[in-house]
Amino acid sequence: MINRFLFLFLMGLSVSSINAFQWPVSEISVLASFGQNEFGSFLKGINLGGSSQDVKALDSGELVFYSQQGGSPLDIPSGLGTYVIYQHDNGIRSLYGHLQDNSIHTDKLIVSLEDVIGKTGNTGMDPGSMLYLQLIDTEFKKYINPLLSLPLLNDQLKPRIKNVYLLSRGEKIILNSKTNIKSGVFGLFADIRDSGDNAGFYNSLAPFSISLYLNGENLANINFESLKVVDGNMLLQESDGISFEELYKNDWEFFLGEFEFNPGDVMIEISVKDFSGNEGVKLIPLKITE
Amino acid sequence: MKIIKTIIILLVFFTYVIVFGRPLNNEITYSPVWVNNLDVTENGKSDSNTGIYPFHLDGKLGYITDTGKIVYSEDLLYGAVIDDKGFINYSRQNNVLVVKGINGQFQNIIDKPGYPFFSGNRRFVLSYDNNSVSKINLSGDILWEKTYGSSLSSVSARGSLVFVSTTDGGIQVLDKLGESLFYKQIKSSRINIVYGGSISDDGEYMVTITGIDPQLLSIWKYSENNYQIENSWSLSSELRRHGLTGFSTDNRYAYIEAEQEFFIIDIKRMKLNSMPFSGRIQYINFPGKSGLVQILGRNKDGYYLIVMEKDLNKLFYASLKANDSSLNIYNNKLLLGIDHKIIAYNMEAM
Repeated sequence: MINRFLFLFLMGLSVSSINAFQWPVSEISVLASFGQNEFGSFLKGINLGGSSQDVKALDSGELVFYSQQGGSPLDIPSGLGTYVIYQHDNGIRSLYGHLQDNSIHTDKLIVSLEDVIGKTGNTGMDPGSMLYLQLIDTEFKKYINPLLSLPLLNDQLKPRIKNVYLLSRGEKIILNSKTNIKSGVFGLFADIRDSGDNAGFYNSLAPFSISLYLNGENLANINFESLKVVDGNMLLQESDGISFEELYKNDWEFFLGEFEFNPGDVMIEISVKDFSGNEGVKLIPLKITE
Repeated sequence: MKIIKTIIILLVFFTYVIVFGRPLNNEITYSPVWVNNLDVTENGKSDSNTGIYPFHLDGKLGYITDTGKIVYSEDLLYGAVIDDKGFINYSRQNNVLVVKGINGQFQNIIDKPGYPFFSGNRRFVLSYDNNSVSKINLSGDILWEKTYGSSLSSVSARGSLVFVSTTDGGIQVLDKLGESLFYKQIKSSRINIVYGGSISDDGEYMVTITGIDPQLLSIWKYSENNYQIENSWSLSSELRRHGLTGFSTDNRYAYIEAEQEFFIIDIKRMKLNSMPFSGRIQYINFPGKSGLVQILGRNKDGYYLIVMEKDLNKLFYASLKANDSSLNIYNNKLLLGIDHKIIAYNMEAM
């Protein structure tokens, strides 16, 4: 409990420069989370599901861009469908995608917290009714996890750590407490999924952070806080600049690093936290032989 | 006295003609040649690409010959791009994109999720979240990919160059290998954003619409390995969507679709002409050396066709009673699509 409080406190400190915004919809169901694997790249926002509902801006702001599906065949196509971008204080912009056709108010340039800016819809690449929400820091040119600036959701479900395995020269060794392996250099992978109370156990989400310890030493930290383009590559900024290709083995299998395992006892500890501070931990003792 | 008066009148007349007279522009006549009802399919294979034009109208896409015979036609899935070499008819979500040729034959697969976009005889795939663009060759291979820190607001290719702009105020010119030739972060307004832009065939000029307060329409000129703003005009800051831009085929004129206004800039004279414009441009053409601009527009009342001179002197306006419409020009032939009909007109200079 103390850990959870500390986690939330530190998380709050790290994002203190961003205002606390309001949720853009009243029925909140997070269907896809920031940094999740979507069509082979990081999801740069969150998907909110639910029935057709009004959408409000996260904060008061100014309409700076909109794109209406079917506006002109000469426009570039967009998987975001009909979308709008609002500018808020401190160079923060919010983007709302997949809105219903003709539900946006392009003539109202300044909006307050109470103003409806559109309705959730199914324009663009998503067939179901949903809202895609993206938060962009134009000053530091990065995408921010919107959950960092939204009121905390009530969520009691812990992230799950399923298979953990080592990979060496194409050989896959699934780890459990009785695994004996020969010494060598291995890639370490873990199948990790979060769930939210609001979206249901079976709707998998990316976690908020993953930490890896070997014999108590913290060797890897992956945080889904922000994404930034560096030298043309989209990188998880607070995680030593990990690219999508480096992190994702497949939809839910994460690459945690390559390590040399020497003979002796090794304790692998993987700690995964979701955005509400729920923690899932997996401890795997290994016997390494010559 | 009467003779003197007549001579004076004649002198004044000839002086006026000599001093103020200017040659008449070529007059274009449009003669209908054929009409094809897309409901009637007369599919037939073609071994040649000459005289075969792409169409995309009323939920169908395919190719039609210059005599009005349909070579190939298929129903639109979710979206489509088509040029004279092939087409992609795609679904709402695609892990791969299938490229077909003019007879509907399989050409190749593009192994890239996203939506395709054809511009200037070049092929691209844009990521679903609109923040990356990939250049694809005719074999379906990904030649390069560029990822940006915010949504793209425009992508256009002319000659060997690609112009990309982003909603955070970035403009970039890429060469055919995807190498950046020019990048600029626009910081001249209260809000930094780029609403659209494009580059001329020869790469000498760019046109952009940028910013809010002020919202600027700018012509950039290439000199000393860099693009510099040659001239800017301030707009009313009302545009908040993509503004279509481009150049005439001879690169002499740049055009800009703003909010409720349409502009043409004579680059040689740096002269801006404007006219009120309602709705969005659906198609725009600068046919040959005719000195004319043809626009198919769409507003809340429906489609309309405008033919005008480059100084925006309107020669023809007609509203079209249609649920879908298209406009294309191939080899001096204008193809006007109205719902399920394509009407071909010969354009002749007189």
